[in-house]
This record gives sequence, C-alpha cells and structure tokens, in this order.
Amino acid sequence: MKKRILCTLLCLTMVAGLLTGCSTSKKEDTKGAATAAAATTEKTEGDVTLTWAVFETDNYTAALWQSIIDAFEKDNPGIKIEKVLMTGDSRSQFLKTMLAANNMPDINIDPVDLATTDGVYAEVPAELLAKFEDSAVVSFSGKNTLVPAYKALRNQCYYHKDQFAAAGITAEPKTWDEFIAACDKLKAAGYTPLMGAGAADIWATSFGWWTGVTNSEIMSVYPNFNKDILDGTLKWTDKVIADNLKTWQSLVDAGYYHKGSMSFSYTQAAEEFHNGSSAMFMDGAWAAKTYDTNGVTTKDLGVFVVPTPSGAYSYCTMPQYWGVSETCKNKEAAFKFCEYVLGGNKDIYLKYLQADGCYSVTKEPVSYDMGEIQTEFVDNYKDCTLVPEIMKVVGDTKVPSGFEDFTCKSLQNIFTGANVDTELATWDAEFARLTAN
Amino acid sequence: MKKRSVFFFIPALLIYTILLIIPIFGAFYLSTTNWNGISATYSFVGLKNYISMLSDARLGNAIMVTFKITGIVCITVNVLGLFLAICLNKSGKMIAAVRSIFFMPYVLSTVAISFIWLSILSYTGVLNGVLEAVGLGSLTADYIGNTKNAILSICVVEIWRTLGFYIVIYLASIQTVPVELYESCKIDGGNSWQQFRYVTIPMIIPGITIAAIMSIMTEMRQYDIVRVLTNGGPGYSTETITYNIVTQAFGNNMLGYSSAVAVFLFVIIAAVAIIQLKIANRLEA
Repeated sequence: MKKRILCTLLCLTMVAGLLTGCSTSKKEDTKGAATAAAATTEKTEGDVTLTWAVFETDNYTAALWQSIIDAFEKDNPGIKIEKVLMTGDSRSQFLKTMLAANNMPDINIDPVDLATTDGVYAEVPAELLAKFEDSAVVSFSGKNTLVPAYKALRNQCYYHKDQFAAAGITAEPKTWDEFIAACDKLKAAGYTPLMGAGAADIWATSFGWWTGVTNSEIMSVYPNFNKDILDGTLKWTDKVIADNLKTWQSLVDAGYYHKGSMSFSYTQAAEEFHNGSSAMFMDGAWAAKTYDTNGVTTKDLGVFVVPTPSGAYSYCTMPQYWGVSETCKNKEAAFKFCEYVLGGNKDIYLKYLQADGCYSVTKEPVSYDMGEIQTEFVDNYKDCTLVPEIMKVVGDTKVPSGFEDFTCKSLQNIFTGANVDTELATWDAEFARLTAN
Repeated sequence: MKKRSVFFFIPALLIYTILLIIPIFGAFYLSTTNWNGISATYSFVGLKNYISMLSDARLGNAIMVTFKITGIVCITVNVLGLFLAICLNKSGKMIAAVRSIFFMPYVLSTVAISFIWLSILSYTGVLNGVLEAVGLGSLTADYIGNTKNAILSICVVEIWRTLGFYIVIYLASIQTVPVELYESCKIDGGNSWQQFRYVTIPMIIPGITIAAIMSIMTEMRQYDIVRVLTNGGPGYSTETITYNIVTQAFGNNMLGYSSAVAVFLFVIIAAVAIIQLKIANRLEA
C-alpha cells in the first residue's frame, strides 16, 4: 500500500513540475524588479555596465552589433555594453520571459508590446525626444517611454526578369487584372508564379499579402481603422477585409502559389525564390538591401508594388523603437547610449540604418547611397500614399498583445483552405477577449 | 536514531519546497487571477478563467491534438520498444552497438534534431528529394505544410527521438525475469509466444507501467518539437496544450488564464497516471 502511495505521489510530482513554469515566487512591482541579475551593475565607481537586448539576422549581424558597442565604449570610457541575444522569432515573447524572470535587459530593441504596460520602460528625457521627427514620437497614456529608432518600408513583389520574359510578360503589372494575367502567363509557361512561406515562421505567410495588399485596401476605405476597430465601430468581419482575403485564397486555389509554400520557413522561401523556384515573391524591404549586398542587379531582378483588387494604391512603414527598462540602475547612461547610436554619432546611425535598408527618423535626416534594387524599391513609392500599418500602429490605438500572432495563424488557416467568414468571426471574438484583458 | 535521520533530508526538502512546491501553489493561485504577467497589479477573478476555458475553441483543438499525438506516440513507442527490446536482449558486440544507436537520438538536443528533421521533411527537403531520385515522385508530399500530415510528422520525429529510451526500460525489465521461469514454461511445452505471453508480460508489468506513464506524461507536455517544426501550424492545427499555455502567457499577456490551463493539464495527467497505476496494480495482483 505504502509503495502504491509513494508511486502515485512521485508521478504527481513529475507532472506538477509543469506547473512551476506558470507560477511566480514573488509578485512585486515591476519597478521593484531592480534587483535583476542582468540589471545595470556598477562594478566600481564610474564603471557602469549596461545590458542591451539585440537580435541577429542576415543583415543585423553579430559583427555589426559589436562594432557599435566598440565605438560607443571607445567614445564613452567607463560605460560597458553587454549584448543579450534575443533568440526565437518573437522578440516580445523573449522580453516578456526576461521580465517575468526579473532579468530584463537595460536597453531593448523592439519594445513596443511591453510598452503598453505602465512601469516597464522609463520615460524618455524630453531633450532626447526633441531630436526626432514629431510623427515618430509616440505615447502610451500620455507617457513617452519609447525612443524612435528608424522607419522601415514594408514589402513589394520581387520578380525574376528572365521568367517574366520567357512567359511573354513585357511590363510590370500595374493593375489587378494585369497581375492575374501575369500569373496565368507564368503558369502556362511552366513557371510557379508566386512563392509563399509558412512552417514555423507564422508571420511570413501573411506578410506579403496582408501588409502589402489588405492593409492598403482597408486603409483606403477606413482611414481611422485602428480607432474604429478599438471603439467597436468596425468589425473584423467587415466586407472589405473578407472580400480581400477571399481574393487571396482564390490565388492559392488557382495554383499560383508554390505547392510547398506552407512547409518553407521564411529563409527557405527566400532561398527557393532566389534559386528560381517561383517567378515572384512578396518580400520585405530588407531583401532589397540583401540582394544589393550580394551583387544581384536590376538586370536580373525587378520589384513592383503589388496592385490591389480595388485599385487602392498606398504603402506603409514600420516604425522601430528602443526602450530603457525601468529596472535599469543607470538610466542616464542607457539614454546616452540610445542617443549615441540613434543619431548622436552619425556614422554609427548610418551603419545601423544601412544594415537593413531602413530610414532615419531624426529631425536632421541621415541618408546613404542605396544599391540598384533598393533605389528601385524606394522609387516605386513615389506616387503612393503613406498609410499606417494596422498591426504595427504604436501608441494608444495599438492592437492588443498577441492579436497579430493570432491573425497570422488564422491567415495560415485561410491559406490552407479555411472558410474566410468563419475565420474572421474568430478574429472578432479573440480581439474582444484580448482587448478586455 | 530515527529522529536524527530526519535532519538528513531537511536540506533536500527545503530546496524541493522552494523550487517546486511553492511555485506549484503559486500557479494554482495565479489561475484565479487576471494577472497579465507584467503589471504590478491584478485582481482575483475566482473561477472565471476556468469558465472561459470551456468556450475556448483553440484550447479545445489543442487538447485534441495533444491526445492524438499522445495516443499515436505512446502506443508506437511502447509496442515497438518492447518488440525491439526482445530482439536486442542478446549478448554480442554488435548488439551493444545497435542498442547505442537506438538510444543516441534521446541524448541529442530536441531543438537540434527538430531542425534536422525540418530539413528532411520540408517540401524540397531530403525525403521528397530521395523519393524523386528513386522514381517515386508520385509519393512526394508536403509533410509540414499540410494539416493532416503535420501531426503525423511530429509523431514520427517524437517516436524516433524517444524510442531508444523505452527500449532501455523494457530491456532492463526483461533482464530481471528469472531464466528458470522460461525453462519451466519450456518443460511444460510452452512455445515462444506462450513464453512471452505467460512469463515475460506478467513479469514486466512494473516496467510497462513506468514506460506507459512516462510516455503519456512526456507527450502530454509536448512543446519543443512542435515549436521548431511547425510552430503550432499550419494555423492552429498542431498546437498542443503546452504550446497553448506558453502562447497565452507570453504572447497574449494572459498569465492568469494560462495558469488555469496548466492546472487543467495537471489534473488530466494526474488522472491518467492514477488510472494507469490502478490498472497496473490489478494486473500485478
């Protein structure tokens, strides 16, 4: 009997281990988490160490971050910067985990999700904010807790010129009908018109279509969409959204997308497109920079703004911010670092912007010579209207945390054949649930 | 003497209490709050989180996916593990090498092997490439991007990863069976099947119980392979309960709700473990 009880207890203990991950041993003010191990440490008087959370991509490399750190430390003796690498595909989840573990890095890149909660980030000094464009400065409930870093153009459709030529397409599609005609010609010529992405990169499935096409159509009809959806005037089941997503689904049904799209990660999809597995790929502005760096020229690769079914013609930019954690013991030094990298040292700011093909948000603009493809990408927007990107709006009209990821998953469902109206109904339910949280 | 011995386990008990027992109670408590995991304040909401779970279709899907993965993997690793353990219950240098090969995936990093499998299973990956190369192009499929195939792909990777562990458990159990019992069975005219059915199985019931419970617990908590291979997709089609817990806690800032889901999972696993132990005890009796 004793053995049975012991055995049962041991089993229960093993499963109980799972629960420990969802608990916390103490509940203290976020400001009280200043004891964090990774928080600023003052080793000796005048010797400050700050932790800086960064992420790495093909463009934002470890060498780039280190060169920024080296330059800052050289110009600011007594302040050391320690890099904390944000792993995984969700930087906000990484930071939330660090915050939950009382291990919040002092300076964060991409802090928008956490900034909605009061007390996570320190207020930015007014004299620092004054250096940035007014349109880049955002507030949450009247507090300015984010330092503007840059703005990034979102996406366009890259295409292989040789495949277009072989399919008999002589000009870039300017209207929806021309786009569909191009897809048909490519398919008839034995090419796969479009590349898609999925697998673990849930953002990549919807990025091209939602950001490039749906966003334009919604904003052309509802210029204050975020405000309207938050105050309940609009619903996600709105006809404009539903019709647009049904059109997207029709592209999949027509066999325009690569059959393996959903099994490719973003990197795999980009590589497949680069290798010619598809004629077109709706990809980010950063790709233009990557192509230029790798010696691809406009002779081989073209890029155009994807036409929308309704004829809406706009583009959006994604703002990037930095934040200084409220737990940081040396906020003055942390903001000094922000100021140094984000415009204070023009060479460093330029290097930071140029790495991912982004643009300055400082009052005194910082520009650089762009490569052929990036130049074409920027030129394509000359007659376009700039509109906000619904899922990336920062400030009081921001969509609730987790909603963007939810929609990305739902868009994967739509891509794989789910009923659009049914899916959008779940958006309304989830939006209400997350907004009420 | 007995009183003094108590002092020997106090340090372990303290560590265990601080690191496990208190956080467990913390999770139970959090499940009755609306804490978002970030802010300094939160409110007591009673059973609201548990009631919300009843109408959460995404969680319902995650439960079904978890049960599917658990069912497929547990049955396969236990049946196949026992069969291979019997085959490997011999001496010889080659046998030792084969045992090591089977066990090797278990000691590798789950995340690392998931990435390897990702390159094998993706549409233009190794598997489809080999099928094309040997003239079986018609059998190529989308193993990750297709909803139906994605769950099976996760199961295959998990079976490959854990099979060696269950072989070891069954091998250890089989080796505890006294040889005399087999000899008696032979003398009574028992054939190989009868030796297995009437000697091996009854004698290794404790091993079967441990292997079954461990496999159920492991699969009910499945997260890392799903996270790397499919990220719960396409859509929510491969989301497991643990994946749902992490998403609710760190993606949606609903730590109170995610704690309620964790408590629910705890109850399910505990119930399964208790039922299984009762059945095992009856079989042993």
